[in-house]
Amino acid sequence: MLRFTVRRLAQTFFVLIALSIITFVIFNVIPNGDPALRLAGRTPNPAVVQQIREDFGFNDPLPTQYANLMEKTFKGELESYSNGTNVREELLRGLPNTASLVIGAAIIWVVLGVLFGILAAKYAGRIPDRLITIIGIVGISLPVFWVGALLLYYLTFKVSLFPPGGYTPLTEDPVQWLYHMILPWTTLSILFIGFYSRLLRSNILDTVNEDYVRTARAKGLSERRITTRHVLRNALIPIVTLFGLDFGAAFGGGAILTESIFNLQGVGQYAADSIGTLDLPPILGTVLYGAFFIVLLSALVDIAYAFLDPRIRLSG
Amino acid sequence: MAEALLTVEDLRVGFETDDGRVQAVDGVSFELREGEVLAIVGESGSGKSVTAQTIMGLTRSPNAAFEGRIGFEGEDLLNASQEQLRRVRGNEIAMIFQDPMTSLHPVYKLGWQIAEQIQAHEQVSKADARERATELLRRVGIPSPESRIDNYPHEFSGGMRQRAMIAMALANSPRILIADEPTTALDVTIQAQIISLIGDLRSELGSVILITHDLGVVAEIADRVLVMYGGMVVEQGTLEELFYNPQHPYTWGLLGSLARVDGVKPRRLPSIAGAPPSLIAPPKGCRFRTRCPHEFDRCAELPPLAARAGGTQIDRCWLSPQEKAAKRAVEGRIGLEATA
Amino acid sequence: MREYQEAPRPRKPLWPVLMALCLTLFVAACGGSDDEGSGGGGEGGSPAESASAEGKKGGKATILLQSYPDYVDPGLSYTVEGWQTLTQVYPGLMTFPHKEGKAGAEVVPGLAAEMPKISNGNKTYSFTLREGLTYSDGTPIKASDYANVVKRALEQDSQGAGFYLPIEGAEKFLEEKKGEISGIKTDDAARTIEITLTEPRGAFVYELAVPFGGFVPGDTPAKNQTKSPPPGAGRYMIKNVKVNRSYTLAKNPNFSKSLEGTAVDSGNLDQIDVQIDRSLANQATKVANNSADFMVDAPPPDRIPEIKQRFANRYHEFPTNSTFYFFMNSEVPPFDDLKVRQAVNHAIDIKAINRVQGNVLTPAHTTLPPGVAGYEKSEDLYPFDLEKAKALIKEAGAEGEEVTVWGNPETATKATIEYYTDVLNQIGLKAKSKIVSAETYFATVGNRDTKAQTGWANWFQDYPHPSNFIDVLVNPNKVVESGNNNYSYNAADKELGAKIDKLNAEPELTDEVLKQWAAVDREIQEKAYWGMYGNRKQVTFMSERMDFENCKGESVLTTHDYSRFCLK
Repeated sequence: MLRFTVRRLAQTFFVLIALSIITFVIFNVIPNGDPALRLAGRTPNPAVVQQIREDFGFNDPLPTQYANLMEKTFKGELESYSNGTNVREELLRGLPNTASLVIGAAIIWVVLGVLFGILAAKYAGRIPDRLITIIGIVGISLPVFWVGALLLYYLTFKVSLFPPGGYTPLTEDPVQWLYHMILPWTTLSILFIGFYSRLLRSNILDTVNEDYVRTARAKGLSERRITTRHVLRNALIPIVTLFGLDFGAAFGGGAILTESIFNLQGVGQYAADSIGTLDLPPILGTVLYGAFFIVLLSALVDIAYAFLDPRIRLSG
Repeated sequence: MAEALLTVEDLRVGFETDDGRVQAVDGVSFELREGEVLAIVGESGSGKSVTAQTIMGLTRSPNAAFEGRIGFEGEDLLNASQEQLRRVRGNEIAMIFQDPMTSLHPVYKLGWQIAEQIQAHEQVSKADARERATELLRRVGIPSPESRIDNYPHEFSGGMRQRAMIAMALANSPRILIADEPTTALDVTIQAQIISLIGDLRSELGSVILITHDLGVVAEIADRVLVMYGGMVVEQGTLEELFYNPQHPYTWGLLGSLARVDGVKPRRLPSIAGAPPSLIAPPKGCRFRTRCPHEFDRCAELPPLAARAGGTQIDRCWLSPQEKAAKRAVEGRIGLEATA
Repeated sequence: MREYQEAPRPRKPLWPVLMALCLTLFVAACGGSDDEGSGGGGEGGSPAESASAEGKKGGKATILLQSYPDYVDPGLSYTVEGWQTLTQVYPGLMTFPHKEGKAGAEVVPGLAAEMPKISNGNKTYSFTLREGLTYSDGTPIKASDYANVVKRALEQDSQGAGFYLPIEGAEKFLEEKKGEISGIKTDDAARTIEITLTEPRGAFVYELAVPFGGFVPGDTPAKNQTKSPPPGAGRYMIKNVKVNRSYTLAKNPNFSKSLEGTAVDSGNLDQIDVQIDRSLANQATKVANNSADFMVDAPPPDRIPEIKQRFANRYHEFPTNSTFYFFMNSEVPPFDDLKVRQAVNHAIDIKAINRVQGNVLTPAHTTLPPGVAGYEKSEDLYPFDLEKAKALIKEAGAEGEEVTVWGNPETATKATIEYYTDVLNQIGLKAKSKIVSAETYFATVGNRDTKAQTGWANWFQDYPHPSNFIDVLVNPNKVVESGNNNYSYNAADKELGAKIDKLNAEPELTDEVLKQWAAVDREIQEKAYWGMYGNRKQVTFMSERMDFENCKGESVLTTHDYSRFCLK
């Protein structure tokens, strides 16, 4: 276990370094309209542009620029080219918002996804199953931004049922916080509910045909016990691992569309905005932040997997 | 004569599939007596496993249809409620399966699985159940059972796993043990061990229904034998009767294909030509006729099970006992037809 | 300034385009009536002059911005949103009155007691500060504070640094980033400030009046103060800053007595809460149901028909000082030929482009928009005439010439460029469009080596002086290798360059000078360096609490003037 942890930590470190290099290279290779010019504003005075190049180090060779950037990152001094805000502070500021969205939505999609999956499997081939399958496919196919836009238009503009986007911190006003989160939670979880219910359904249907389920029945166990302890115990394993990765990605800023549509000011929105402005420091910051979470969660997933299925050995 | 513990009366089991109705069991009747080992023999597709599993109600599904009766302790298991079945399963009638690797739950410790069985039917504490599990493992010959009960199935060898399954089946002292091809997945030396174990445990096991296609195994421990073909019983008798006076050509074929250490070594191992019949559209008349070298015009009519040889042995072949005795002698031993 | 819809200081990231696309599917069915120009209130060439500019005093209001101001620091901010706030808080030596229409574009003394004395061949400006000036925290304002104002901008390579380079010694300071600026002499006791330029520059007093010239205490460091903005001398002060979220403008308790009644003294509301909401659609919802009072941007185009209809009594469209045009590079064929440029001007149908852009433009054919001094109403030299255009192309022998039309993916831009490309093909050129990302667009076409033949352009004023348009965008002497704003690349037109330079040096916008600017505008039209087609309209959309009749707060300078909002 110790060896596993150490190796994973080392891997994480290398992944983050590699990503930072890739991000940096991409930023410098794509047509990015000369950051010095953009920093200089609408009436770029050549003398000022020249100064900017020197002061920001744009004239330095690329490896030097990269090293400077990484030094700033480690010290937490990374600053946006657009408006000088500190990237680390902005990430921390957006974290509770993203957390509210992702954790809340995750609870909903896991509970409903599992519930629907079980129901669909239980009534396989019959009407409840077909209904759930349709809902699931619709959920998977609906684009997130479309659902969000729909909800906003009908439930906040046409009829004032919910506030049109925005985020109220939980510590400030729990009721308002909840009120603001309902639509975003709905939007984000619809996709996953569809996915998870279908996945679980097929896992369950596979598992019930396994020999050990037959043995369990032959042992005279109650149906309930067979379902929970024998069938679900195995059918849920892939769901757990998938969940870990989905959660990690969403928490790491992957819920970009939902956050932006509902103006939740979370990490995802921050990432979207920085990409929109081709602002390298926040892009770097959000990439590293996101990657960190995904790597962390995937390590946790591996550990969980080994814990859940003793046939799997944690490979160091 | 000992009491009939279990009676199967004219059991029919059919499954609806996209290609039509598969009649897996087409009129099977037999009795299981107290303390006896009844072997059910046949090839794949003969309906023996389905018969065995149906006794425990394991074949129930939306597309299955049942007819007949399975009498056990005054109840009809075929039409019993789920609750009734649950009480019987593992408790009165226990079953072990062919592949112990897949038949044991992969993520639970063995001791846990055995304790689960115990606690499903008896009010005992976890600690007691664990104790009993340890003892059971010891009884089936697993060394250091105290530590091994905390192992997972994949940490056991094949033979150990099957022993463990047997231990689990015995946990609640059932009156009947059904063993569905318990040795098929094991190699020969382990097979012998398991069979010997089953033999050892006879006093604790009560009655045993042993499903197998391996006559060697049958010879070791069976008291009576049932031969099934095409979803029907084609011959039934005691061990001696079957081996020394088999009445049905199929049985001759089975016996003839046994490799024997003594006697002349045949040039090629005899087998029964042809393939098992389709259970969706079974042939009219005797189901074995397409593969039987001795078939004649009467075979167009399905022979009923009858005691033609006198005594308790019954078979389903129109040939007279004399004709049978003559035809089954092939190259100095019992067989279906001469090897070319 | 240029309005970058998506970069480099974008106020809208990519997704609203997607959102708008989707909402269009729905709203298109509902409110699809084709409005040709009737807004909720009046419309026309200039913002309406309302009967009473005074409104009820007091009360609080909530204003919505789409993104946090680029900087809440007068030395750094260069966006409309930033300036809307900073003009209320940081007056400079000169200022613009908080009045509607042209009156709001006239530069007048702010912290200075009177207009500057100009001497030394129009190179030296002498100011005296009013008596008893203080910042909002009570600290007295010193003349020497001005030196720090300039140094801060130069030290940080601010986007406003360019405004100060004309000052003697400024370039040296920009490079060395230490010492004093030789062209600035101040005397705290006498309250005098003397600024000497390297050469005459008429726009300089205007540049003193924009927020880059806003006074902050002399000890304010040369670092971005957005997180905790320094005190200013304006009618309002900034409080409760939550960066990227919100901030509050509250009345300055220490507003200098000597500023009372001056152009700086303007403010009806006691408190203005500024909040950020990324989604224009959500903003519109909030203003519609009165949970917010005002949105700075226009509602998204697909909501506008519904809003116009449901809330006609609090919705108004008005023109801004901006020009939308197609540039034509006179350095490369085929646009090096005057006839070709004239043909293009005849070929573009201004009404059609307006439709393509969703009716957000007032048609225009002059370089200067109507709200900028120097504008003169005139006949359209190139009325829409496709046949004439085709004939001119033939005459120029330019048939079949390949033309690349540049644009960026922003919805209105792309659609307009598609239209334009189509038109060029109709008149006989062989045109195809080239869309590059918004972030890189202006840098690309502004790079002389790209040799961009023609494409999308627009410009929103920094301040209402004609040089902010003509000098920045069309002066032949301002053509450089990269970072250009003059996409006509008419460096060869030395005559025009000389005219513009001369006018730049004029210290005052007298009637005579204005006539000369108008003449230059006319010349630019005659030489057809641009294919201009419109001025952008802006929108005032308010909640029911606000006094829409009397306090629309429309401004030629910053589009919206918060100090002129008031409650009913």
